Amino acid sequence: MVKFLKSMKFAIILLIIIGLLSVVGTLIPQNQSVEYYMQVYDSTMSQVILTLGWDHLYQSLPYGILNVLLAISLILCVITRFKEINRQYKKFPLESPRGTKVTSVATPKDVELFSQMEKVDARYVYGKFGIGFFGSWILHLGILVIIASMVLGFFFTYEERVVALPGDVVDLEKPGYQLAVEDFETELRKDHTVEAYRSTLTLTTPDESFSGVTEVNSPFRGGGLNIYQTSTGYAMDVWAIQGDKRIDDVLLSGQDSIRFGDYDWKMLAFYPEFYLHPERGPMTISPYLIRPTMLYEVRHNDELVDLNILESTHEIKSVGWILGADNPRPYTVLTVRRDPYTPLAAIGAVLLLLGLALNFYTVPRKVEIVPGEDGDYDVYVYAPRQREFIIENLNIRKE
Amino acid sequence: MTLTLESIEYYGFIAAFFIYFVSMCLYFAFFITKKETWMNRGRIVHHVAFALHTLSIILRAVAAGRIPMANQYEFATSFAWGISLVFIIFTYKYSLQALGAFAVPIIFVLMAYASLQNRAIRPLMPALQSYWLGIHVSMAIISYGAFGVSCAISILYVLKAKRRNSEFYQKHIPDLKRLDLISYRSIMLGFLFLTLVIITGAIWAEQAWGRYWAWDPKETWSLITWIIYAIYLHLRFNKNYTGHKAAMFSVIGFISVLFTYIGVNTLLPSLHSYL
Repeated sequence: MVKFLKSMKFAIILLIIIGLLSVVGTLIPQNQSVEYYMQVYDSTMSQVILTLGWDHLYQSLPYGILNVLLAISLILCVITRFKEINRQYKKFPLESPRGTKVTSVATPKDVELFSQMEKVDARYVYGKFGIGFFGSWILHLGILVIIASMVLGFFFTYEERVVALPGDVVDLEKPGYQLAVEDFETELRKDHTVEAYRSTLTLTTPDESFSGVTEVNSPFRGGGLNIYQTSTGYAMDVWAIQGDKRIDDVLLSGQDSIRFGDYDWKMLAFYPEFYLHPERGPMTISPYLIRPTMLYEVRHNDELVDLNILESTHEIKSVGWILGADNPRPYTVLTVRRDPYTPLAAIGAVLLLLGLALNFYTVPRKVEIVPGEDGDYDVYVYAPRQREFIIENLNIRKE
Repeated sequence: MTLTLESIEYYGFIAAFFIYFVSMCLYFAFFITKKETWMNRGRIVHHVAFALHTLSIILRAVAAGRIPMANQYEFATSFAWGISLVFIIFTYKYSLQALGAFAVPIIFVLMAYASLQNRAIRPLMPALQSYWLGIHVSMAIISYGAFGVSCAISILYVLKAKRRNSEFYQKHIPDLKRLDLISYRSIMLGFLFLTLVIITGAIWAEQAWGRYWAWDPKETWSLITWIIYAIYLHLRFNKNYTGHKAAMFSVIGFISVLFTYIGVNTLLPSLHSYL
């Protein structure tokens, strides 16, 4: 059993299955709702997708098991091969080479000659690139370390999404940690495209406070946490009135709905400078708050009962209520994260690259130099791990 | 008409595109007439195209004020340039002039694809404003270029295997073992750089999106391509998997590379849709 688990055949079978399943995962949209799959695919296909867990394939049990098996295969490979590789390395320069004669600079014909030349006694032998024996072993260790870091990260990473308006102070799920969003700005270029999204933050931990800015590509790092600028949107103060009943709240575009009576009110989209295009529908002309308008829906028991637009400072009648909105302003979406195993993944990546470089470009070879009949020295090169022909011409001549 | 850097870049690109086409025709003429003169002309013309291509990319960088690797057009032309560069290096290193008949058509097709893309210079979106853009995409260009050259060599291998007794093939194409070896070395280079692409992409993703791996289709297809070449290398190292089967593997690997680049962008929703 162990022999099979550590075999290359088993590893390749696993890689093929993982590769094929990964293809499936890219063809089927991941992490969507059950309704989505029921709508997009026919009943048989949607049942297959949901039963096999292909809607969240990379987090599914079968995919996890495959990766665990790959990790076991790698562990066995790394453990059992080290002894043999070390043995090869230690005896490398001493072992009598079984070289093949090389008489000139490598030409295509030398490749043929290389495997035909006879064995001779050594007069002078040395090894080159013995470290190359460890290349394959190191790169497998690197992959194992990366997989381990991903598995550990999957179970032990702390991650939280924070949606906040400037001025909000949010208690994080991590006990004793508080995040204050001092400010949020979207820096625009002259052509109205976005130069930067920027949140100014203060993170308070049980011990001390950290202040700073987070931007895309430049996360805030402090108090053992990383805070990433993930997204943004617009919020509006909204109200719903029916008779003497009044409900006031803040509605955020693309976020959760708010409830009034038996209804759920959700802002589907926000248009800073609203324009109703005759063909393309609602759109914004610019990112500036010139005619702020929301596209909203109202649902009753998950059933759509109203879909309309509502301009800022205006009111509209809907399902027997008066709905109104005002004070549009941007909100920020942040991801607060702590993955203590990221450095481990970095170590794995370094090992992987080192192993690859050693494996590809430091192929161990033995060089044997013996006096030739014509008074020159003949050079023999032998590659124990003969993946390709190693040919050298040291141009040694007898004085 | 006012000549701007952008328009000069465009003319340079168009000129390179057509000169690559001429080079391709000359290489084809070499295979049809079996006269070495055509091959030499094809090589010289390719060098001219490469020089113009390089110039157009440099001008694009100057006009945009950044590394020109931020959209489909820019990456397609850079991808073609990468194959062209690796082709030149391998041609001189291994005396493999005839490879042009198979490498230049790949370059030409990629240039044609680039010519169909929107080439307007736009400012970078926030996620792309990082020095990792240059590092990550440069690695991809070298990696894809090496895989492209390996694919061309493999096609040459298959043809040579079918006509090994032909005097023309014996004279102008290296023997099969050597072709196999050169293809393998090209894959080695591509694989090393693909690994770097994935690693640098992971580091960048952590800064931009808050996680170093998220199973985005582009990431996943890079991994799938990596797995294909990893299987090739395992079989080659341990099962002496060489020759025709290895050549087929190389071609399949490059198809995966092309899908990772073009297919994912056009067929699958991805965070990398700009590239």
